[in-house]
Order: sequence, then C-alpha cells, then structure tokens
Amino acid sequence: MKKVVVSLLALVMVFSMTGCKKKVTAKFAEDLKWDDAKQEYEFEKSAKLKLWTDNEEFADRVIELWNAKYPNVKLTYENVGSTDIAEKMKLDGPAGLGADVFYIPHNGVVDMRESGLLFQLSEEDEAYIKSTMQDSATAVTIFEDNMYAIPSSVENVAFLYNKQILEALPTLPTVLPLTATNLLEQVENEEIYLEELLAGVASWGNNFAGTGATIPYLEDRFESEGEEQAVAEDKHTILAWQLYDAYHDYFLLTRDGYRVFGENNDDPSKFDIDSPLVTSSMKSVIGDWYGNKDGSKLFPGLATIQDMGWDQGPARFQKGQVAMTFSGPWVISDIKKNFSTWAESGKFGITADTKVEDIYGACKLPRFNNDQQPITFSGVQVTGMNIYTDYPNAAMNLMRYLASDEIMNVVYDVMGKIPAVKESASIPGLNEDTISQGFLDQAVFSHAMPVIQEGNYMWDPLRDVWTNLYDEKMSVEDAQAKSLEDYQKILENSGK
Amino acid sequence: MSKNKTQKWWQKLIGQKMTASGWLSFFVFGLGQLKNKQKGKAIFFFAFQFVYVAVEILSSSLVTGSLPGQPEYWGYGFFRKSLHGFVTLGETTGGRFRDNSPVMMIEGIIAFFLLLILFVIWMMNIKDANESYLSYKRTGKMQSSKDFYKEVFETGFAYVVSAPALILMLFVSILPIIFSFLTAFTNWDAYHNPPADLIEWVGFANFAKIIELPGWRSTFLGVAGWTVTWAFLATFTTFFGGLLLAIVINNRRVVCKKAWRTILILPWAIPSMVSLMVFKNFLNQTYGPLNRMLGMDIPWLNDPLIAKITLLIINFWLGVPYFMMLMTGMLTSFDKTVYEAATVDGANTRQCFWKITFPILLQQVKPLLIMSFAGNFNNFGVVFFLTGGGPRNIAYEYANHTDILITWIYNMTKNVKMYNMASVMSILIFILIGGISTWNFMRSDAFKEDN
Repeated sequence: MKKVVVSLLALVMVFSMTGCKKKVTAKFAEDLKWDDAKQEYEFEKSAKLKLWTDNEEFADRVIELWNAKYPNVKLTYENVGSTDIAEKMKLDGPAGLGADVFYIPHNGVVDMRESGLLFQLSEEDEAYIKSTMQDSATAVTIFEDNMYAIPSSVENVAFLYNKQILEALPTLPTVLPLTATNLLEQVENEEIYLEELLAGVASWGNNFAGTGATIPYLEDRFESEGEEQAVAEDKHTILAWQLYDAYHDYFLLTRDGYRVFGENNDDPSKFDIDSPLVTSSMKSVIGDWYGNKDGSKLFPGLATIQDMGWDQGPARFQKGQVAMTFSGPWVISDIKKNFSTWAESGKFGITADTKVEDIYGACKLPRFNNDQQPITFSGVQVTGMNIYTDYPNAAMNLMRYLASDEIMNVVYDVMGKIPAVKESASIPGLNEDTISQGFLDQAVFSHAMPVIQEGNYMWDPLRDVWTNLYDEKMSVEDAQAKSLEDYQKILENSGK
Repeated sequence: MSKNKTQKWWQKLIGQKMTASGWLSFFVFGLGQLKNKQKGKAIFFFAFQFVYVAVEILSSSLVTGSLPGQPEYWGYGFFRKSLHGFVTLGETTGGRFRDNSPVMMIEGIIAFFLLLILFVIWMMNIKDANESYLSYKRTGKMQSSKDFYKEVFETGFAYVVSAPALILMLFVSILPIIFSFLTAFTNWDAYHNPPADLIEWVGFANFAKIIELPGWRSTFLGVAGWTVTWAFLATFTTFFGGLLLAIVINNRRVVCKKAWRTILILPWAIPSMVSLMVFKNFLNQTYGPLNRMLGMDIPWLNDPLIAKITLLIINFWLGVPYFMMLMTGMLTSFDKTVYEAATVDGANTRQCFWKITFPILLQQVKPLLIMSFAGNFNNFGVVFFLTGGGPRNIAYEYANHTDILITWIYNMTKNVKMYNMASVMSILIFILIGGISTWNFMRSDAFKEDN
C-alpha cells in the first residue's frame, strides 16, 4: 500500500514538475470568505468535495442530503477506516490525494494536528460549535486554545444487559437494602455493588446451569446459525466482555481515584500505573477471579485472557447467549439491524410490536463498594478538514453542515450513535431512547481518551497489567511494575 | 569486437579519444555534432540540455517570484532545490507551506534520477561527437543524421523501445524502494512527525540500536530465528505434502481422481483470511469447538511451542493444494516411455520414483520452491490473522512468540510509529531473502538454462 501511495506521489510530482504547478489557494483562516446574507462561506467556483468515512449507509445519506441542498457542489465519498485515516493522510494530504473532510476518532486528532494536517477553525466557527456541542466533546478538539475538529458523536462503555434473562435470575447477595425481587430490578435500582455483582456471578460459576433458574427461550439462544462460530453453550454465559482490551478494562483501575495521565489526562509524566491507588483498586475488584488463573471463579476454565475477545463477549451478547456485558453503543446498533429478522421468525418471542428496549437494556456501571462510580473512557467521533484542500470555503461549509441538526439526525438514525449535541431534544427519539440514555448516564462518569501523543502508547501497558497478572501469574505489584517498565521502554524507543 | 578488450573505462564512456568535436559537445550538447555537420543529431542532443536548463530556470524564483522572507533555497531551480532539500531534509517547520521532509527526500531522488538520465545522454553525446569525427577522418565520409537514425533504429531497436519502460520502472518501482530504504537512515518516528516536523539523517544509528541494545538484539535474533525456521518448515511441509498427495492421486489404482482433486483444492479456493478467522475461533482454548469436541484443554494458540506447530499445520492445510496441483500437472506431462524403459531394465516402482520422477520434478520446481520460501518468509496473513503474534513474550520488544519479521514490522509502524526501525528491518529482510534466493537461483538448473 505504502509503495502504491509513494509511487502515485512520485507520479504526481513528475507531472507537477512539467509545468502545471499546484496553485496555493488556502492559507488558514484568512482565505475563508464569509457570506453574511447566506450565512455560509462563499463556495469556490467549480468546487468539488471528497469525504472519508467508514460507513457506507451514512455516507450515502449525507451525500443525498448535501446534493439536495447544494446541487452545484459535487460531494463524493470513499470508504476509509477511521483509524487508518491519520496514516493515510500523512502521505495523501501533501500529494493532493486526500479527502477534504474526514471522520476520525478524537484520539487521532492529536497525531494529525502534530503532523500539521488539520485545518484550524476560525474563531467564529469555534464559537458556533461551542454553542451547539457538548463541552466535554469540544474539549478534545482544542489544543493551545485553537480548535482543530468538530465533534460529531460521543460513545463510551456502559453496562449492557439482557432483560429477559436478568428477569429470570434471582437477586444476588448485597449489603445494600434490597427491594428488588429479581436481578433485573436489582441492577436497575442500583441495589448492588460492582464487587458484589462479580462475586455473585462467580458463585454461579458464570453459567446458566449454576443459577438454578429457568432461562427463557434457551433453545433460541443456542441454535446454530450455520456459520462456524466458537459457541460454548454454557460457558461464561452470565457475564462476558472483552477482557483483553484496555478500553474495556480501564474502569477496574479507577476505584480509588487513579486516572491515566493525571486528573486532566494530559500529563505524560503521570502514567503512574504503579500507584498504590491502582494496587488497592485492583485488589478490591479481582477477588477470587482475576489474577488467579487456575482457581478463577468468575471465569472458571478461561485458559488465557486473550481467549475472551469480541467473538466470545459482545458478539454472544448480541445473540442473546450472554446476559451481561460491558461495551459500547456499537453493540446495540448491530442488534437493531437484526431485530426485524428476529421479529419475523419470532425469535425470543419477539413480535412486530416489540422494541429493542424491551429486550436489551443499558445503564451506568454498578458502583464500587466505596460508593465511587467506575470511570470509563469515552470517545468522540470528530470531523476534520484537510489543510491541503483546494476548496477551503466549500470544505468548511461541509464541516458546518455535518454539525447541523439535519446530519446529527442521520448520525443517530442510521448509525445509532449518540450525537454530541447539547440539546438532545433536537434529535427526535433520542430522549425517549432508554438505551441511549443509559449510555449518557455513564458518560457523566467518563473521561475522554487522552489526547497526548503518549495516549497512543498507553494501550498495551494498560492492558498488559491484567495479562501480567492473569497469564504471567505475577503479583499485583509486580504486574504494575512490569507494565510501567513497558511504557517507559516504548517512550525511550519511540524517540522521546 | 577485439579492440574492446583493450578499451579503458573512459573510452567506453566517451569514445576512442577526445577530439575538438567532443570538447564542443562537452560544454554544449550537440555543438560537436553541429561542427561535424550533423544538424539533426545536433538538435536532438541540444533539446535535452535545453529542456533541463529551462526547467531549472523556470522553476526558480527568477520566474516564479518569491514570498517575502522566504529562505534562500526556496528560490533555487528544481534540480538545485531538490538536491539541497535531499541533503538537509528541510529547515522550516510548520506543515503546509513549509518544508516537508519525506517529499523533499522523494524530490531529491527524482532529481537524482533525472540527472542520471541527463548524464547518460551527455556521455552519449560526447561519444557520438568523437566517434563521428574519427570515422570521418578514417573514411572521409560523414554519415547523415538520417542514416544515423536509421542505423540506430536497426541495431539498437531493443534499447529504443525499452527505454520508456525502463524510465517508467525507475520512477514507479525503484523510487519507492529507495525511499523506504533511505528511511532507515533517518529519525522518522512518532516524535518526528512530518509534515509538521522535520526529519533528519542519523546515519547508521538505527542499525547500531539493534546491535547494541540488549532488548532489541534479543528480539531481533529470536524473531529472525523463528522466521527462518518457519519459512523453511512451511515450505518443506507443503511441498512434500503436495507431492505425496499428487503421487497418491496419480496412482492408477485410485478411483474418482477428479473428485479427489476437487475436494483437495477446496481450501485453496476459499479466501484464506476467512478460513484463518474461522480457525482462530475453532482453536480458541476456552471456547473453541475443537477442544470441546475432544473434551480436552489443549492450548492450540496459547502455548509458544504448540502455537508454532498449529501455525505450521494450518499453513499446511492452506498451502498443500497449490503444490498438489502443480505436481499433478507436471506428473501427467511426464514421458511414459522413460518409465517403460526403466521397467524393462528391471527397475521397481520405488526406484522409478526416486531415480526418475523425483529428480526431474525437483529440477523443474526448484525456482518455485525458492519463491515459496520467500513467500512464507513474509507470510503476513497466516500469522496475523491466526495468532496475531501471540502468545505473549514479555522479553521481546513489540513482538511475541509467533511473530515473524514482517508482522513485527507491522506492529512497529502501526502501533508505535517507528518508521525508521521498521525500515531497518525491511532492509535486513531484503538482505536475507535476497541473499538466499539469489544464491539458490544461481544454483538451480532452470536459471542456468535461461542463460
């Protein structure tokens, strides 16, 4: 791929050398011309725009709406993975092959800004975006008081559960006053601590048989769908999530106040994975399961933590095989896509009137037993503008349009993502959507993934603190020390 | 031809000896030809010099104008600017409208290539001026430009028609290779992040890192060792597996040959990425259907040694059909009379195989075997999609037990953005594979016959 890009680059330069030198048309904000009457920037003549995103359905819808509004400005799209865009743009941008506007996760903003690829928003646009978008979402796009991207949607990990199964399960022992009569009520009334939930699931051996309850539609849950999947019928069916992933495990470290890179998550010297706050937090949650590979109670028989990935956790939750998981809104949007086919076949007793919310629920994570709420990472999908664009005015109009209520609706409607807007009432259906509200409840207890370069290096050490414990059988303190050492080594090797 | 032997190197370049015409052409292309009264040729050669000089002048600040306060070298013409940029890799930072080191590096390489072409034409032009003059002295006749072109077209037809392709190759194929090669001598990593930051030449510092730092050294030796073992075993197993299957199926006592072949070719027909993903789930130690079917707890992908064996087995499953089809094709094309003659002479089946079939097969298939070795050496897909490099090896840097060099490079570029170190690895892979392949090719009969 790199070879192809470079050769294209070479060809472009051979051509540019023979006389048709590329004209410089954009020099940051002073090239933008605002049209007061139309409340938009003056389109360049014969402007045409290209958008990079990874969702075809969404892109088609955006193009349709854009063409209806601006029939003279042709908008095209290419499907590029959102995490590949930063790398691709570094070569394609200067070569003039990059998209004018693109969707990236907010932690890509730092890399792209550092490499000088993002167009800096004007003060007027900054004020406009700040007035419509959530403060926590705009915060991740601002560096040294300048804004480099526009938030589109927010996402974070929340506690997801299958209401049908939880309703059938008995309550778990807790020190909190208990009014609930089944696990569903207990979870929704917040009458259980996280540690108690983990211990309770462990006491059932983390499978349906261990609960002694009759699970509804059991035969629907494990019917073969004709594809060869790793389906363990009754293994870790109460709670399963992506253990081998720092994004999904981070909250377990936060009980006693540990935050990666300090309170504001922006101090590279404060990785502090060896902090005693982490030690106590880990010791409190692991109980008899994590860090005790052979006698692990919550995941009995789990060989290595790598064994539990997407296919074994959220994917089984989507099929109704697992009762609870910790994951993001993407799990639900997949379910929504399958829902109509389930209704047709009557799976899980679903009829045409059944809503997704009747079967699946989302809420904030159960508190730790010191009454602290677990802190999760949140991510913001943002739109960025290529600084090498030939049509800065047109591209800026597109950026603004992508932040409008019209497109925010599409973001929610087509992709099932939660728009980053301040006024959730402006998105029809969002306020009535209990699942999205569940994610928003936990969002208050989330912080954005760090927006410093070191944030790209933290993932492996942050994850491997658990691998060290579980697979390498280290003590908690040794696991922390090894993880810190790994982090420092990456910094050293990467040229810092 | 005989005089060639006594030619000195410069005589090859510029002709028998330097004449007045040669000196004229030395300074102005085509001037010597003009003196030799070969107008057409003179224009032809002069056109090159003219275009190059014109590009240099037109692209300099004399014509394009300059921005207030811009660095002096921005005003140079294309060639001077590119070569200057290649040496310095830029001086002003800040992204667009400032220096972009990788682009400067590529521009430098392009300028170098173009100047190389110019140099070749320059030398041709001097040589031609000299030799035309000398031949005029000898024969008293001056060849007309028209006759010259005719002669060139007849004698050097191959060169004339392949020149455009060669030049294109230079830019499309050689240039990217040189570019990534040169990256190994820079500090291009996450903290030197073009276009906003500049990168610098660091000489052999990155190579020294691999030798000097114990972490890097042990990772490199470990990964390289496994890579060679893997490439050898993967090639060996698929080759002999394929051979065995082909011979068995080819046996006259086997019925339904076509059905067998069709069934055995199936693994090859499925996209390997899909089958690898399925295998990854199938072999999952905790949840995988295989362990549950067997009722055992075998760490297919979680134990360093077993994971390596699993990799080899899965690769065998994926790779055997190719060799089987290849061998079948070759076996059916064998001349049956050789076997009849051998049988008449009293050879048994085993002797027929080891003395006739196998040597002939090996000779034909050897280049493919080497290609397959090189392919397995860089077999990214199998390792990446099946084990992802795992199980974890805490002693390695950015690599795990089953990582081969190419997946290690991927980790370095994708996760920690160490482009320079990744490029160092690419060079080492190139030397390893290039060396082994060349040595083997030279020894193979197929190569010798080609010469």
